Amino acid sequence: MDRDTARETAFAAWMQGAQPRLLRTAYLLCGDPHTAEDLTQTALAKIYLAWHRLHDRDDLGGYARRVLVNEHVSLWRRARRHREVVTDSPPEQAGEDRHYDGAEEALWERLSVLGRKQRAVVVLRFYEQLSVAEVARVLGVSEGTVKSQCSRALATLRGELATAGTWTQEESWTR
Amino acid sequence: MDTLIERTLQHRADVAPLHEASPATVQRRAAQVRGRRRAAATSLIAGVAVVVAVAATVGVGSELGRGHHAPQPAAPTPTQAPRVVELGSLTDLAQGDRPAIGYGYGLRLHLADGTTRPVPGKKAYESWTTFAGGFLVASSDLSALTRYAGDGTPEARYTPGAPPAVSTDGRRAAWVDDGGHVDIARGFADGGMQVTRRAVPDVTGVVGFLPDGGVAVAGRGRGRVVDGGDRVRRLPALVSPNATSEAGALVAGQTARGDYAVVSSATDRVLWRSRLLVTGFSSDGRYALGLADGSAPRTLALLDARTGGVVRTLQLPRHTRIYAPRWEDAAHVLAIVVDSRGQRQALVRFGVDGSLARATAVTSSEEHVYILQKTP
Repeated sequence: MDRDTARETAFAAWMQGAQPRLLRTAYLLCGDPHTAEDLTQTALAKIYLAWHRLHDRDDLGGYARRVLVNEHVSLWRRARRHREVVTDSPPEQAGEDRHYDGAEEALWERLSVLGRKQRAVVVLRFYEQLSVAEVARVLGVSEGTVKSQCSRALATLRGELATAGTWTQEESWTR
Repeated sequence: MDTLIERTLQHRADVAPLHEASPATVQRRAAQVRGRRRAAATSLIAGVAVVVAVAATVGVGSELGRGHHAPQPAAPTPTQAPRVVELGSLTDLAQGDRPAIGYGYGLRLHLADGTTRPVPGKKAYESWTTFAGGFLVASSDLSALTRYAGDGTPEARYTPGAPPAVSTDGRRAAWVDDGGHVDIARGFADGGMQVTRRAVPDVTGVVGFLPDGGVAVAGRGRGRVVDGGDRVRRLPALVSPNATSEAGALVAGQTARGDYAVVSSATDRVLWRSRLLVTGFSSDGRYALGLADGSAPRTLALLDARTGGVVRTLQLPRHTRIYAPRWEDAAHVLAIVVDSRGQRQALVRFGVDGSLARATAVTSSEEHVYILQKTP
């Protein structure tokens, strides 16, 4: 087996196990399945290109997560730079009001009001179940920043849900 | 609340209609990524070519079909040929003078006079500047802009918190207030200020100052100028302005085509177009600062502000990136350079004369980020 073939075999084996989780994390970060698939493919491609330099294969999951989050932030930056390139035509007409079938639906909708870093902190903390220190390493920020961003995100979500009438203090005690 | 978040994320992730890519698909994407990286390495050359070609042939106002004509740019002479300066490694770069403008590092501000102090509010921030003996600080998520007195006492808070604009002499600042008005403030050394409030429909941010008390503003998907007489007019071509030159009466920004242009606010004509993102002008209005487009640029160009001709370029090696460059004075630019491979960073000074030096020690990029003071 030559070197390239060995690399591709090892990468394919790792990718098969890692991709489902990366896809789901990407989806939670961006909220859109097509963007999530694109994001994950780009992250995997970058890992493939760097494969020969990745000596610590035990922490590939952490590295992949970091590439994914950084790529997501880059996408967001590109989008932000171009977000004012708009037309004078009116926005699409809103459809009928969405039916809220519970707090989960409302929370999912409200996640979109968070900034990209706050959302990333929430996803890494509550879905990936990472510690504050691990989130800080993934995002390249201090632990204090993670704590403050997480606190603000939760406060924002509570406020949004309270405004929407789908979250009350009483509910919080019963959950 | 925590349980609800965990449950929602888990459920959403489980039911999301996601499709896995095959190894072959990822390898094809890898080839595209590799190609983009190579293209980025040559983007400066392309950018220069476009600047010269477009300036010479396309001209300006004609893009809108309004019969405007760009002033004929001076033909590049051999002495104006771009000179590329390459950065080797941060640690090998000579240490020069400390920055002449302030910078933040973590929750500490290093002011231009060499003193340091905690960030007012002691919270994460996106942008800051000194003004009227105090500070203007935009929060990290740009949800609020807070004005602090010199001792750190908050005096006013505006939402949303787009970074403020500062005049060349530092005596005036402008921002968008809660009611969507443009506040233009003249500050005094004793901490007092005189604020003029102007109503500008759909304004999202103040881009910068222009001559005669005017400011350029963003919003509504177009570049607009609020002049000293309170009139609001639209600038040609620009849909997203992002920098002004008070001395040169220039506004730079993105066009509807997706490229970038520099417009004269005195004549309302496009002077030149470029594929380089123009992020600022020198205080005397002679030079513009351009970045090769992309989320992680490695090429910084100093341009002739009137023609777009490249005067000097700084090219970074792989694994390094340029962030948030700002003019330090009329002839030097400061930029945050991050070496992602070694997790190191430093503020680097690049001069119109081609000089290159570090302005700070090399630090770990894992610790804190540098945030340069907002300047004109």
